[in-house]
Amino acid sequence: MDDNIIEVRGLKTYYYTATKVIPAADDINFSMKRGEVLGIVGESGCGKTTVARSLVGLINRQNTRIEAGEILFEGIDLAKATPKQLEHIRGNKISMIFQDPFVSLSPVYTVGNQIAEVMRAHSTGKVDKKKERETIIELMRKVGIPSPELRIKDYAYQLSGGMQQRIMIAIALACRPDILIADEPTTALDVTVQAQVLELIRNLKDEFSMSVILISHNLGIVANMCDRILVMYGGVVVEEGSCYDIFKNPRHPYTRGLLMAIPSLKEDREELFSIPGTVPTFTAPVSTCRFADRCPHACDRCREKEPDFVDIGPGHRARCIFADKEVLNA
Amino acid sequence: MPEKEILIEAKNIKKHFPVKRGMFERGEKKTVKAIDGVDLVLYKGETLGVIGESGCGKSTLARVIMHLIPATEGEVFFKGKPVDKTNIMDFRRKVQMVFQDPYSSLDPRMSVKRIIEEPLRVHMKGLSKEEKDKIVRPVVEKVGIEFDVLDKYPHEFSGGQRQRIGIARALVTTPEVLICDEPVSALDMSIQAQVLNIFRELQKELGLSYLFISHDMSVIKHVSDRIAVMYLGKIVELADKQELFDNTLHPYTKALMNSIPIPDPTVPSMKAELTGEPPSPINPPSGCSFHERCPFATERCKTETPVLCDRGNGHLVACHLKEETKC
Repeated sequence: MDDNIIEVRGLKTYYYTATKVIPAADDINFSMKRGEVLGIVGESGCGKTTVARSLVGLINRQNTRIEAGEILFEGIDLAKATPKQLEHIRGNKISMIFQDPFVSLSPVYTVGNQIAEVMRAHSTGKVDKKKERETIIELMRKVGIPSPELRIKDYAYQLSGGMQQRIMIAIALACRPDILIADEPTTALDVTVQAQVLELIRNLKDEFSMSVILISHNLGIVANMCDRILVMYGGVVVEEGSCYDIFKNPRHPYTRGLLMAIPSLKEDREELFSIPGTVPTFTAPVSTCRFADRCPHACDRCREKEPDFVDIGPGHRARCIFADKEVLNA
Repeated sequence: MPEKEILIEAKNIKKHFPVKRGMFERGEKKTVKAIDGVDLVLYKGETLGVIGESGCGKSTLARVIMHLIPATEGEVFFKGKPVDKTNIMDFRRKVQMVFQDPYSSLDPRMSVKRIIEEPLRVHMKGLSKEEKDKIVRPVVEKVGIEFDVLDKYPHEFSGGQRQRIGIARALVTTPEVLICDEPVSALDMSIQAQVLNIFRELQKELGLSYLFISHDMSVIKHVSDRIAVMYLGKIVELADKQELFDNTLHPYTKALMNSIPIPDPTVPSMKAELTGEPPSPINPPSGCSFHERCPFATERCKTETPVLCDRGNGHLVACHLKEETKC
């Protein structure tokens, strides 16, 4: 396990409202190696963002609790870390970029200032203004911003969406983190710009030798970027495997359904396969298979207790009692 | 080509929005050329897909055709007759619209039944309750909603169901054309497939024609018979689906296709072929509006605006580089 940069064991994050308990992330287990790109895919409300936010303590402590589990990073358990400890890690060792760059950037500071802010927050010595400026310009050049000497004085609104997201990436990378969490980093961008930003993340990952957690609802992006993938549904990981396993040999009915539901560019299908029903939100802890109501293979056993993971191959497992059975292929 | 009945014809549509001048700004008044000369024909029974990036004017085009906003220039014909004040009600009855966001396009204070019946109150005044029910019931059942739940309010439905309600509302006046503005982009993947299937079934059953707007190439490919690619207020390429994919002519269309991530790890896809982002329609580049991002741009592209012309088989493209054949 020593080469694992982060290890999550049995993580449970629940939201509390006046009357309900929402098990947003339930029994999440995964680990990540240095330089790996881990994808988390799922539809809205499946808990993918909750998992990512739990890792860096970006959760609202008023109504959200990490119920159980450990997040081991550099010998500390982030699930139980103090706010002070988390502050030291966030933006420094683990950084995060978000979906909408315009909302994430401050409208009243120049982008250069916002990059500097992170560096100052995490440096101990006195800042050399001139050197700092050079570092920022260098960083902006790395994320592909043309003429950074001029852009450093710009405000967020003066930049286009793609450029804003590049600034967000520059902010995230300012302290050379070990892990970059990218939560739907290109959902707000156009496809041609999306391709540019994803390529940038891929190149920077190698250059900075980071690990990346990429959260997306787009299976195409995940297929192109990730080494390993977690598929989430209703707060749990339903399937975990290498990119190849997930796309070429999916063993959970949900993963299979999702892959068949997306219109393909290669072949024409008269009718798309569609998963019946709607994406559920659970408002109490669950003890059945969460996909049972929409699953074509569901039987009584699925409704009795939540299925355990079934191992399919090295590093490939699915939370379905039929995962290793032939019936799925029918 | 066999003669097909033309339902909607848009001729040289332009829509320019004036830009508000700041207090100290001087000089010429600026305009956003959201649509700058678009010609479009929609045949009976077909689906015409319109694809483009944000800001290319595809939604404005839908709204102008619907006469929700007045065009700056140009005319829309429905079955050969120009649409004007005298026949706009008739036009809107035959041409209905489905919107992108099923959360904001349904009035939260109306019951779903009232929402779906609303077009009837406008277009077929004086129907009794029973008569309305008789029209509404088969329509909602067609889109997969039970008639008994119609007394509920929109917030009680999920995103996919709300989009079905939006479709049902569009269908009650028995239209011939549906203009769909990004109807599935707010939906989850598993729900998107359900809604796309509904569109297909309705077309088969009712012989509808669709003008289907989306930014998602895989969705557009799935639903369309013909595809129009828009860039900065203009159509840059228009062809039959198969022809467009087999014989892509415009460099922008090519780049658009190559930047789509394909959900298959064994297929190398998604190349960032283009640099930069779509320019602002306030100050579009001279000549071909794509020349700043085009890897093949020549001097001519910087000064001369290419026109959309036929390269055979109804394959239209606006690019100087493809002008070896006569235009």
